[in-house]
Amino acid sequence: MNDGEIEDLRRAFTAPGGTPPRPEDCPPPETIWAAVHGELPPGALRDVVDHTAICPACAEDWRLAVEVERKTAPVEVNAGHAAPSLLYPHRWVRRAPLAAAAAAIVLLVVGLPLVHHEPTYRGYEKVVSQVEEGAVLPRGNCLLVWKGPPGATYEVEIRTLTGTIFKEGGIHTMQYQVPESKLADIRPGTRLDWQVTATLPGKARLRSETSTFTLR
Amino acid sequence: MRAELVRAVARVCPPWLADRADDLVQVALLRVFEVQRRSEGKAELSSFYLRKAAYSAVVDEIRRLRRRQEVPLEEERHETHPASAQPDPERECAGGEIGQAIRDCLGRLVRPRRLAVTLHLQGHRVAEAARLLGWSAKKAENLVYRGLADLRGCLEAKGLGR
Repeated sequence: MNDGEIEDLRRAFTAPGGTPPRPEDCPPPETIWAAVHGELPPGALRDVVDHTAICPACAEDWRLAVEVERKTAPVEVNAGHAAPSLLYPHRWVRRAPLAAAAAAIVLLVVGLPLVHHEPTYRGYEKVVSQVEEGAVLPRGNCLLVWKGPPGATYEVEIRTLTGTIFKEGGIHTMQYQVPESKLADIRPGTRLDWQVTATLPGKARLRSETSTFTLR
Repeated sequence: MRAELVRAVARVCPPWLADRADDLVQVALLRVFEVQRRSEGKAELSSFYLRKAAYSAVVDEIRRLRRRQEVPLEEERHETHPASAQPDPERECAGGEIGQAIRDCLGRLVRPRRLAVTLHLQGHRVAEAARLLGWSAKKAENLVYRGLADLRGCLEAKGLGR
């Protein structure tokens, strides 16, 4: 499913209207904020997500919390790659909900592949992180190491919940030390996703699984 | 601190609520003072905390307005965009019905699939959903895939798929 198609379905999900459940069942704003920022225990977080599935008001509150974080996230280094928007641009509000709904129905009927899978390249190695999953890395020595096909050019991307905070390409070794200055605005204890993309000599691309580390 | 709260409220506050921004700053400020008082001045007032206080104040106000239904919130938002100042009630109604159908169907999914699809529909990428829910990316991707298939089947059963 490409971005446009999934956006149509999202638009229908976020269209105005619908009956909210009893307001007294809604989690307080502080809880939604904590959930969005990964500060709740897993069970409590899942309860909040469950609630947003059926409560359009709290779903909107959730998106607002994400949007706030997106607005305050550090600007991505590589200006050529805009941070992906987690939320719907305001212009969506202006669009006709019926058109959104119709698009969603068409999408659901035509049965397009639901999730885009990265192509695989037989005969090549994988790109695999060599940093222990969930490792705590000091910001002064944030060294990311991986294994991948020799001769490839690598690109490292680091993301928070709200989007890309750092991307560096043109790397010819299988490790990269993230400049401390690029991590200055990240709070200690924040969990960060990182991923490496290899561009092979034939221009084919291989992407690692997303790994996670905690910044100290 | 007040200046930082003003900025934080400005970031959170939807345009249609902008005329209440000063009041919201005041509410957020009172909450911060209360936290400071309880902690005897030892609370750490980071910019993250101030954003949280601003968010809570704004969302509480939005909820208060929803409860009172003193204004149709979506229409107020439209008023900030002259191009759509006259929303078509029929179209809004249809859009709302589809959204409600999606929520009904989400409620029928098995929980892991519901969690994965809900985050996906909220705009989170698979990796983000995986991290939030404490799953591997592969597991989250699989659950999104199966959950969207279930969602499609449910909507078709409601007559919305054909």
